[in-house]
Amino acid sequence: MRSLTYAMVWDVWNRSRYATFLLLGITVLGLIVHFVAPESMRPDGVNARTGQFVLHWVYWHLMMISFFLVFAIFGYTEFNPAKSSTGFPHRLFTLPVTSLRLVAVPILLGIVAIEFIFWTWTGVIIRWKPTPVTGAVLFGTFMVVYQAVLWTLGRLGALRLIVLALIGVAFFSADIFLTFPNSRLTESSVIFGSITVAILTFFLSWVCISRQRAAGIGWPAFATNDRLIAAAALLAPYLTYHLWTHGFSRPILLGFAQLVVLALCGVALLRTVHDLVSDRSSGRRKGFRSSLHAQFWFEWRRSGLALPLLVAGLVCTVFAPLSWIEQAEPGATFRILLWTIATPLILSLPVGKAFSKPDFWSGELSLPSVVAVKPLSNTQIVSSKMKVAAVSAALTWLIVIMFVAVWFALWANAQTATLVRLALRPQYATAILAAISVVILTWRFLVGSLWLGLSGHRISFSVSVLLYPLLLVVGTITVDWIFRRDQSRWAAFQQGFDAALPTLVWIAMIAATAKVWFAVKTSRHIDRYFLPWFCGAGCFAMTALALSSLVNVVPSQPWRLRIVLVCLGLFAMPIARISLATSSLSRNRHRV
Amino acid sequence: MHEPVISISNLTRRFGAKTALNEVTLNVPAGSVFGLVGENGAGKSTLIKHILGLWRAESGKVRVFNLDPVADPVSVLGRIGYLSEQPDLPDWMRVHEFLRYTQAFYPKWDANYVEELRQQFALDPNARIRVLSKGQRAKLGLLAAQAHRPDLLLLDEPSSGLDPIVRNDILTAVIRTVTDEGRTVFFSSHLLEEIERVSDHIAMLHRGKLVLCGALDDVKAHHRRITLRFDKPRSEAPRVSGTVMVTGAGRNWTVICNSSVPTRQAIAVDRDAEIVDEGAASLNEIFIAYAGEPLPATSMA
Amino acid sequence: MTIRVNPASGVPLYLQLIEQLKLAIETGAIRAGEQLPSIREMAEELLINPNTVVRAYRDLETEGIIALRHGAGAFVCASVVPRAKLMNKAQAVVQSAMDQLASLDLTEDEIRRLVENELGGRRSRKPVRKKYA
Repeated sequence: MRSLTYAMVWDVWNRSRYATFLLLGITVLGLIVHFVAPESMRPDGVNARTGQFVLHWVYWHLMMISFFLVFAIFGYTEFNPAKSSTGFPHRLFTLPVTSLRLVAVPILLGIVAIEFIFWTWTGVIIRWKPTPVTGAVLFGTFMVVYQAVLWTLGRLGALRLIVLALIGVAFFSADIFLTFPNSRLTESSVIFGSITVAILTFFLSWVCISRQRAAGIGWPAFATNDRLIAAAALLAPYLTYHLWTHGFSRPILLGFAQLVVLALCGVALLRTVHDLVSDRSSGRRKGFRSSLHAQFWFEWRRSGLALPLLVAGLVCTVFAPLSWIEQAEPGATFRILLWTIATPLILSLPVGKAFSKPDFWSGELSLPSVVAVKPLSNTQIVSSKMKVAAVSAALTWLIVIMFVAVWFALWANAQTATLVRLALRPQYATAILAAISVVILTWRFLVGSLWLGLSGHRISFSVSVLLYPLLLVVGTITVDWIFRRDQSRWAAFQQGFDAALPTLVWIAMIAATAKVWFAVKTSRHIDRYFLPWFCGAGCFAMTALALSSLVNVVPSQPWRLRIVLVCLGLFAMPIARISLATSSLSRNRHRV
Repeated sequence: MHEPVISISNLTRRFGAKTALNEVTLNVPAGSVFGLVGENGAGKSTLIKHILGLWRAESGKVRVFNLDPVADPVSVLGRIGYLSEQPDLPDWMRVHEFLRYTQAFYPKWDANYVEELRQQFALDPNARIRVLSKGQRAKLGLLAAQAHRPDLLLLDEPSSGLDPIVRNDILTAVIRTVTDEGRTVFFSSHLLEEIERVSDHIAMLHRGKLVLCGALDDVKAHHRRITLRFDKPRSEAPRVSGTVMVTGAGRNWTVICNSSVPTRQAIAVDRDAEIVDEGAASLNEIFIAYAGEPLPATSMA
Repeated sequence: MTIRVNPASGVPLYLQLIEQLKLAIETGAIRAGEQLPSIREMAEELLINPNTVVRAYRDLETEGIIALRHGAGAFVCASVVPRAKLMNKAQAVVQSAMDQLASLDLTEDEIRRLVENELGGRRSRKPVRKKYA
């Protein structure tokens, strides 16, 4: 297919021949001037001799024009009369190339072009010192984002320019803030950040273009929210960081931009929640995109909002008033914070039990006939339940985080707030990892009993339901008895644990290896789950590692403990249960 | 299409001590209307659930479109439209939500046809299924089963407890299905009159055993009812070849027999017998002859 | 003239349909050259299996009463000699005979048996007469 790639490259050039010639002409002009100009007039670094100043001024303007031309050339869009909007040239969709190639050619070409022009100007002609690597990276990223915005946000029309302007402002300010002396931004963090953004945007535009190509029709009604969220997500990390360190006390333009983006996020979130919850929104009258979407909707309507509403109810009726009442006491505030964070985890256990039944609200353990006679495979039914559980867990934690954020921003005890911030600030990576792990853990509790509930065996299900509170009670009593009664027991326990650690390491490693092997073996049945499993298990393992450095249980053999914890992290992510759930459902649906 | 749409061989299913299906073998040819009759508890619903894959074949084989419904539910169920006896539709959904949900699973869904039927059945799209009457639920279930023009329409006692108008709608749906090329209908009922009208093949289940299976015209042609009057009262029943059932006493006896042999030669009887009446047996009589008990509530149309 | 079939009677449905269609053609309710209802319409109106209708139509075609034109439908042959007036007169005779028999308190089956018996007897006595449609 090499000739097709060349054809696509030629097409890009062909559409803007004059601009390309102009661009090349300007660059060549700059080069000529640079080599012809006498030594004394050549700008070197930031010296400001008069002749140099004039030349510098000329160079700057020519450079800006060439950048503008590059972006004009690579505004690779065409008017699509079917959708009456300007987006990716739809005539290319019929070419026998993958969507990846369709997307990659203009983007890579654009990156190459902008980098070429950038380095020609700043490296050869102007000789900027120090070498502006960050600037190059930022420009490259902006090229990717620019093309992605033009292609995916076609419906916004002229508003795209505003979006691009906002994004440009963000990029520009990222570069500026590097130069601030006390800034937390290091050059490497900005470079890595923008490379990440570039890669993510590339994938996003790939997904969008392949969807456009496959569908041939307009975007479904949901898409506006996705785009808003995506646009906000591009800026969110930078914004969060700034809000965290400096609050709203920024130059007015930037503060305004931050406010606008936050408002966009809020609106998008509200619309998403409303669409998920409401019955009658007009977008919902159109058909589902596929049977999996329909089944997701079915399961979501039955059970998706159970955990979030439960937690939201508790937050509103118990934690919020309590936190208001106890705002004078730092100790009480801290305890309320711990309970708020523990509640979703604790509640996800009983909700998970109900969730594991074929129908959330009834006690029937047989698959409802409505679902059983649909052309759905057992794997698809289980996976739609898992997806609903994931969205449910995420929504629950979103509610908790929003509550805590608002609480701490407005009426929390100042002492506790500062303590928490100070404790978290140096470990923010660990905190984020822990937060993600906790969300995954909630999901795990929700989904962990699927294999029992879907099996249809009343006896085993009832036994498991009774077992949980029993274990909880027994466990609390035992722990309390062991550790409270006698302080020396704790020391004795520590010694015993220390002694057993080598064996524990072996057991843990064997168990973890077995689990990984099992995961790889079953990854063919549940192939789509393998990647999430891997990411989740990795997340747990990394959290365990990060936390182990903080906790000082066994000072003598920390590395052994770390290995055990990592293996434990790997073990925590359910995979055997998931593949078992599919076969349980199969036995339930097709009864023997 | 020469392959039978449904092919069941030696299917046996026991629930504890009770045998629900006993070595049932039948083949449903493509493009036919296959009627399954039997008294309550004869095993009709169990058989239909085996076809859907909701029961796994304990012993024996079930093949639908030449596929195993247990091993490959997606391919099989995607071509089947199913209406159950009590359509257990999700109570919490509204009518339009249910139709939208069902539509996503069947690519051949015909939205215009659905709209036409929905208006004909007078179903309010915003009504919750919970408040619909039994007849309306049956209509909604029928709508959803037909809407994607399935290759196999599977009806499990669809008319039970419904008024004549809904029953007519069901029969119309059956006929419309089979007039389209190659589509098959399999329905079980204990209303013999309906079966007689629309079926071209028939099977009879009695206590899990298949007592009768074949083309309806053949069945009706071969079963005859003969009323005999003897000069002298007889203490035992007269012998007629191919007798299924004999009733009567004394001088008057009625025989239901299954034979293609002309009547006068079929009677191996004394010469003092007089054939008072002879005719084709109605399906009701055939059923009673085989089952030994009348079907409940053979109601008028 | 509406066509009705009775599934519960011993007569096969397709025969009932043939008889009724023949009567309709003979009494002039459907004229020569007119189109019969399509198989689908007939099946849906009578709520019977379309194959039954197909069989009835095919038998009528074999007897030369109707012609099935591919894609167009079923049409009554133009060559059918309408004996409408005769049939109407005969209908009147049959009606009065039925009234008399009904006054003797005979059931439908008994009447039919008597008629068939009589026809059978005549058939065995007389030579076969050429039949018109």
